[in-house]
Amino acid sequence: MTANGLPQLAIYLGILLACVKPLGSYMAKAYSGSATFLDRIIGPWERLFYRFCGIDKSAEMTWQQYSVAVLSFSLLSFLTVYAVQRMQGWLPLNPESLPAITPDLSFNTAVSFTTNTNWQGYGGETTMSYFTQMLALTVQNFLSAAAGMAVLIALIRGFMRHATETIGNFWVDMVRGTLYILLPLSLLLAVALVSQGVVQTFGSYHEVPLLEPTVDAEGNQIKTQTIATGPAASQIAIKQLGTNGGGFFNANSAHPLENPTPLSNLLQLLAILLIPAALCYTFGEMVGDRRQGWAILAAMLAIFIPLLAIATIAEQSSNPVLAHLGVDQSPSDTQPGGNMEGKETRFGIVNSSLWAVATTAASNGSVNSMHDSYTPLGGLVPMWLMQLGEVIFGGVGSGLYGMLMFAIVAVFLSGLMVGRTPEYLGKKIGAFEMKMASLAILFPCAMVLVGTAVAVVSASGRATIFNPGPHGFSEVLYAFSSAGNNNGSAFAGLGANTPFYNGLLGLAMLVGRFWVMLPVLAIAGSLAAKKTVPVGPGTLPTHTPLFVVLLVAVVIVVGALSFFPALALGPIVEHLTATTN
Amino acid sequence: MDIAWLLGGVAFFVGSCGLVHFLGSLRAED
Repeated sequence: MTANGLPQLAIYLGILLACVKPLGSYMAKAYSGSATFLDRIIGPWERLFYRFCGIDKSAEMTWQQYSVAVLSFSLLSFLTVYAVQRMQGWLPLNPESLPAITPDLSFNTAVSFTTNTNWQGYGGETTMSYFTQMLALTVQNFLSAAAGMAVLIALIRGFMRHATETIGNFWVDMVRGTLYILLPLSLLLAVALVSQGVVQTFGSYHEVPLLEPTVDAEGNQIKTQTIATGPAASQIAIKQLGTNGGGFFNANSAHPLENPTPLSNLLQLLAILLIPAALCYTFGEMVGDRRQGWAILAAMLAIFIPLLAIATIAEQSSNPVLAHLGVDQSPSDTQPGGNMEGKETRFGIVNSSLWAVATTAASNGSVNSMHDSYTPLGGLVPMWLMQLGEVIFGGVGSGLYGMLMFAIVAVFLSGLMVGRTPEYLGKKIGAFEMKMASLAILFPCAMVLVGTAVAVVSASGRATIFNPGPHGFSEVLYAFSSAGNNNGSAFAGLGANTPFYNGLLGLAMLVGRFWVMLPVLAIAGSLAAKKTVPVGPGTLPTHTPLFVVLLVAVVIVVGALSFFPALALGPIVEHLTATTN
Repeated sequence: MDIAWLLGGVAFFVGSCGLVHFLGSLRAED
């Protein structure tokens, strides 16, 4: 790693960790209904909203009622986003007169934004009107993020409460998460991004003369270029804060009007991990033992930092294929060295690798460089981070409840080792919790591996794999890893906008989202009904370095055992081929 | 075509309500 790389990474992590306590403490207050400094501004709107929608904020839900509320709300979201896309040609705010989206792509995109995945089988500026971007996609960025956080809070209540059947009110959690957390943070970030040059306008696209005319593939002279604009800043702010990741423009945060400067890059990078990291503190605060939250955060960092180092070193090392050709790839005053293919020169290798690792550690999926152009090992890291289940920070809410599933497995395994009934945060972990935690971990794994297998053995799947050999397999594996774990980033290269991939990836996104949420809510209900057990001599402390090591080991072993064979067929064999030929 | 894709989406959510019921029955057995 270069000398200026380390301080950049250290500064990023330093700022991020400094924000964890204040934001985490604020979110705990927001979800507990305690007074916050925004009550005067937001409180009247919140009460008005409850009255308008007929929500009784004191009403409580069982885990089944909470689950059905999540599902029915998400179904309504899916139908709305689908309808807006299909009717796009008739709706306003469409200065480029973009036509309706095809049914299969509308399905895929509606599922993608409802599940907080933001997999994009389309190019934003050439496909979606301003109306669709704002009222379908951006709205879903808020709502799907708030839904993930609501499910996490319900799980936390399961640990907090005892001898009760209820875990909170989904509608109240949605409203408070959106009004008190996501909207204020998004407003601040959007204004900051506009100050850096991110566009925010309803004006139509600009036709500008090229400084240097060129020719197209047919030899026709090209003298002008169309510059796409639009209400981008407001969408980009929540796309990062809500770990959504869907870009306003096709090139996502590599686009100069979506991420123009090093400062906008830093702000967006911080926004990607901000809420997932701070939620660890919220968890500790709400269960009454902050050390529990710090322990979970430490486990996340213990996996994140080494993988960040591997990806950065892999990209800063020379490309082995070019090295065989005798190309000088060492850093110097005239070149950054390493693998710069697919990376923006204004960000460089360190900030591209950091983004790639952060966006796949969180289930964000936005990109500021093209992951398909990474070295095999550099590309393996983001892919494996997704395959670990998006629990290393993960999506807002979903990352932490996923990590808590691994924590339940970890205490169960340690209980087996010492022959005692496992318990976590004062709750006995029984057979039902273990079954639910196993389902929550295995559903996404199954979707990734089965989906990839179906794609590579079927003619429809193989028809749009344009890269033959292991790299083509990596592209398919990456696509299903991204969809099945609700990340949304892509290796590109794969022609995914076909009815086959739109349908199968859509199913992977749905299963990866909701069939994880439901076992989590079932655990929440089961734990809430249990009595709290006092700490005894046989209790495994879950705030100690020993537990952090145990938790990290469980996450890595499950991830390695599940995906090593598939990775061996893709990036690992590609790396070996490149280095030995 | 719209009907097929919409029905597919609706079927998933309805089926997921069935999963809630199934998980509830597992807990009742426990």
